[in-house]
Amino acid sequence: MSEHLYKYLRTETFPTPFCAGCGHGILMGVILRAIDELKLDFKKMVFVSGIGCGAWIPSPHFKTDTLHTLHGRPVAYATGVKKANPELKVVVISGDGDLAAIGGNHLIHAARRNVGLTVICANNSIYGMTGGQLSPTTPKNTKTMTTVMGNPEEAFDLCKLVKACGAKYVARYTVFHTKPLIKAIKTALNTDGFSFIDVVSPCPTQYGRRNQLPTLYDMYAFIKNRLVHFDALKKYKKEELAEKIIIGEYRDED
Amino acid sequence: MKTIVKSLLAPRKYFMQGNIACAEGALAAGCRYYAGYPITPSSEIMEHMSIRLPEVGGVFMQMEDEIASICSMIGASWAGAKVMTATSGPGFSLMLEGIGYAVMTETPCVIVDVQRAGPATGQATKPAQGDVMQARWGAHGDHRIIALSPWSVQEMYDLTIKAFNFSEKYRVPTILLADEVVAHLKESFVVKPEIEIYNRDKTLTETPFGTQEEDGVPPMPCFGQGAQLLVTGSTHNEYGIRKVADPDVQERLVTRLCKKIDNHKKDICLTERYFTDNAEYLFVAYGISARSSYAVVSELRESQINAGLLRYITIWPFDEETLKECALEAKVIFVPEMNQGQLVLEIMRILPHQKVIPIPKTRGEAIYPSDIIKVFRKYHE
Amino acid sequence: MTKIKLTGYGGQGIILAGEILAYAAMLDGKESSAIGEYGSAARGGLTTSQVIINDEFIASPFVEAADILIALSQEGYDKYYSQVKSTGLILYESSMIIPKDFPRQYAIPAVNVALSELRSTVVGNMIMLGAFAWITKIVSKRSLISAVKDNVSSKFTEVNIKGIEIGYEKFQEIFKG
Repeated sequence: MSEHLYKYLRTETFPTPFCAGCGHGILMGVILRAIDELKLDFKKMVFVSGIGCGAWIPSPHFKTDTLHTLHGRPVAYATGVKKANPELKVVVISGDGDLAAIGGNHLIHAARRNVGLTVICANNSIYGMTGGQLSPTTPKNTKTMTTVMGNPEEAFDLCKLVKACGAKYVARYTVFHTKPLIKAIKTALNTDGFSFIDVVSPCPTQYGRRNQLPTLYDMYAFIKNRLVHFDALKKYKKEELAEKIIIGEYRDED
Repeated sequence: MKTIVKSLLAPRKYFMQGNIACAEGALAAGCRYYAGYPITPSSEIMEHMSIRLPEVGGVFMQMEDEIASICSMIGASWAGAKVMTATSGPGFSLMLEGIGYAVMTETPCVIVDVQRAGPATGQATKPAQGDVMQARWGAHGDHRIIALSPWSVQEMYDLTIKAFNFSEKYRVPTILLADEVVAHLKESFVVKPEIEIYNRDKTLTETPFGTQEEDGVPPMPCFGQGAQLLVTGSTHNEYGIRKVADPDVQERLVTRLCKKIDNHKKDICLTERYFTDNAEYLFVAYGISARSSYAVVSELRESQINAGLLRYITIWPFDEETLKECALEAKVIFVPEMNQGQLVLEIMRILPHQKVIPIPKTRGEAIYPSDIIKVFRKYHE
Repeated sequence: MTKIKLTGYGGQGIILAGEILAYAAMLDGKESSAIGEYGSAARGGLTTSQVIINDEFIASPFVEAADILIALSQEGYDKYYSQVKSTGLILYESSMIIPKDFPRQYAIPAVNVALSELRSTVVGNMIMLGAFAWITKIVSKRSLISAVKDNVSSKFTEVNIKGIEIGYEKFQEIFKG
């Protein structure tokens, strides 16, 4: 990580616990760059996370107030923090299983309420920490610890879900899109109301190795080949989009 | 820090429902954040808070479920507010994981459980005292909490204030274990001009999760104060750093979480005794069951029968010493409860050589004096 | 200590009457409690209020053996009249209830009086309270009226107060007889 970001970090907690090839370290850096560029008062920021690999991005690494909560509940905790002290900038960073499975109800209600939170989903489409089980964002037919024959279920498009619930700003990028991702995080942090960013992050350790994608490069290629930009959606038929990852800002449909 | 403040309500006599008195007690104690989910028979608390909190500059949130309620309340507590939620059996069950989190992170918060007849949905509008053991042991992992049991509208007010004070002082979730009868009972009660409240120590510290003493309560700075707080429900050292495989840290933390309550029982354990000196027939009760027991004991005393009542106001932690003292001369000890026998197990454990008779009732009705007399007569010639 | 049970069917204002009575007792400087119980249906089911008035702290707020029963429906009368102490008193609504044997009971045509004198179908409860106050002297008429002012929405205050006053004045002959 670039040294000018060290002031935001408890470097004594390094190295991070992330596996080789994990995208969460990149996401950590991207979030801090966005905050640094916006010159936000880090002391007045609270980072709330649940349980899972993604939840370890802020806790214990970020050198400000962090709230590492129960599994699935960071959005509910964050709602209380923000409502009790609106002067705090409250950011939730957690994984897809945490935010969308066990915590799905809190996510949609926070979006509906338009609480002034920024929620960043570190989405690796798998339960990494507990051993590679199916998550609600695991693509169909993917092999996981609990779907050894391939996932028979459809995956959530969290951006579409949260947007439909009334979120003010919604975007998705992968950790390989660092520049647009920084821009999106900055926009989200400046949004008055509920903002949500889904960040696709590779997990070669738990996701890749069961799907013939054992290295970061394999995962990178796998993700890259499925990208479609939100602005180009009209060029595709619905069935062509089934396996795709839609990136960009989710705007209101005309 | 202890301080004396003026009551929010004008000091006088009021005629109020228990649930409303509870909400007013919370406001008087300084509660400024409430999150809840509707459930009979506790809903009047949240309805009243939804009107009154904005009037005093507080925040009211109706959340999507009881889990969200307790979690958002814990978040608000770390943002510096005094916080409360109220629920009943089914909702209380949903909150248990959050209560465990509040124990582990030492987050002050008050949970009101207006007990109703269960299990499951049971009889939503009918009273019970079936959550006594759930309050004590419901959250997983070894831990301590404080639970208070009000027997009147006056105590729905007074003990809510006390619950906040204990919670802030010991940084522990405190449960007001009420029941449908006291919650919906309307009666006269008195608001005094001033009340004693306790505000948590917000001193900036590097070690908000540990003390030198093995039973200490560390200061609790809040978010935004610059304390760089590391709040986590995982095992952590005094700085808040996760230590999920260190046996020494786990032992030290759990020991302190228990001892900070156990070693302060003298302060926390509240009981009341009526004619317990040399009582041959000792009634041990709490909540609304103690009201009926009190009526019975008064009646027996009028007939020259040596009966006494020991009433538990604080039921957890359980005051063993007072029980032993009151039971010294007791030939029979009766324990009326609106359950199949919960607190009586504790009493049997503490008094293994004495005759302890449970008086259970699980009809979705309160225990009436006649229920108690009926059992008493079997043991009194 | 006076233990009072009020009973009727949902919609007759039994719970409110119990609360007004207990509140009035508080204004008179006494301790009082009220427990309202609804049947399973919000309207039409058996509804009961248990009120206790005492000079000191009320031990059990439950009315098992009542000193006084105020009954506005046959179902309530039938269920509770046998629980009234033999030295007790029953006031019952004469247009609704066929009474059983009881030493001291009075038939009060509260519902008919409410209709004829106040054109109201709902203040039978207050007329009963007025009658209760006159015969028992357990609460003062003044406190009952203040209790109405403090607890009933202003739209209905007047008719309820009139109900109390009529109940207080109108049945004195019945009680003497």
